[in-house]
Amino acid sequence: MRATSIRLRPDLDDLGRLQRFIRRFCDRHGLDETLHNRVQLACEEWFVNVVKHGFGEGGSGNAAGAAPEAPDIAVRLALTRPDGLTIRLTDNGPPFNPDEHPLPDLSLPAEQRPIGGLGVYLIRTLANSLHYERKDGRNELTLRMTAGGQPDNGSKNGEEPK
Amino acid sequence: MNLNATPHGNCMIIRIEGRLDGNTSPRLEQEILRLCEEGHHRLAFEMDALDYVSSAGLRVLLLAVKKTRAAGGRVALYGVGPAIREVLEISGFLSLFPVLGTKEEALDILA
Repeated sequence: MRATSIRLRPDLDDLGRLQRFIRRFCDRHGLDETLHNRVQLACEEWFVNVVKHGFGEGGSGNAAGAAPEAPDIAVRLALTRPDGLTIRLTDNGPPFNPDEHPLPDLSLPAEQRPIGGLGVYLIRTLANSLHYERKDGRNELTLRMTAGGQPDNGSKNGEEPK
Repeated sequence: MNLNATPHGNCMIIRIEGRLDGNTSPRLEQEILRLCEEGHHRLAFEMDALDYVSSAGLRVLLLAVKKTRAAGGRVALYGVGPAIREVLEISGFLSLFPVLGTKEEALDILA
């Protein structure tokens, strides 16, 4: 199994580094553009969430209420099959379980749509499977993605939003 | 990301090239707010050179819909590639604005 990792600062400036890291991995292993795009999207949605809600935007670390430990944000990509990969996203921000995140109401007209709230939904829909664990003060989100096939519109593990 | 706004009759064509992500979306947001303030409420987004969109970009497109509708205007998209279409579809955005094949079709709908 081929795997590679990157550590990120809680700063949107690092989004470009994350994007290049994913691009290199997908190119090296010949993953197709559709899968590459989905990996980019899932990882960006997670990273932007962690930066904005986990550590506070900018993540200077000395603001009131900031995480007491130094921020530790990491992405690990591993080739699991000839045509798929496992993405492990970890951070030591406050607990955030995507399974408990409410699903957006996609039937609302534009006027009533909230601005935002789609990121977690995109991650859930794009991944073939999703597993969340809070372990040793860290969020660990594991996604599996394979080439081909359609995203299945959100309802992972047969769970309904509470 | 490159942005280019070109007036066409009573419409404004906004060409977006590259990536519309968490870093670049604020620039599109500023541009849309500026255009709306200047009285442009019929916006055609030219997307044939847009490679990638994330929820940060969708957020700005929704803002454009809300802003223009509040002023009696409208938004249309054209030249949308498969990667962008997939994200619009998953997010239920295809019902928020017409997604058309050509500039002419978009301008027809907006006029």
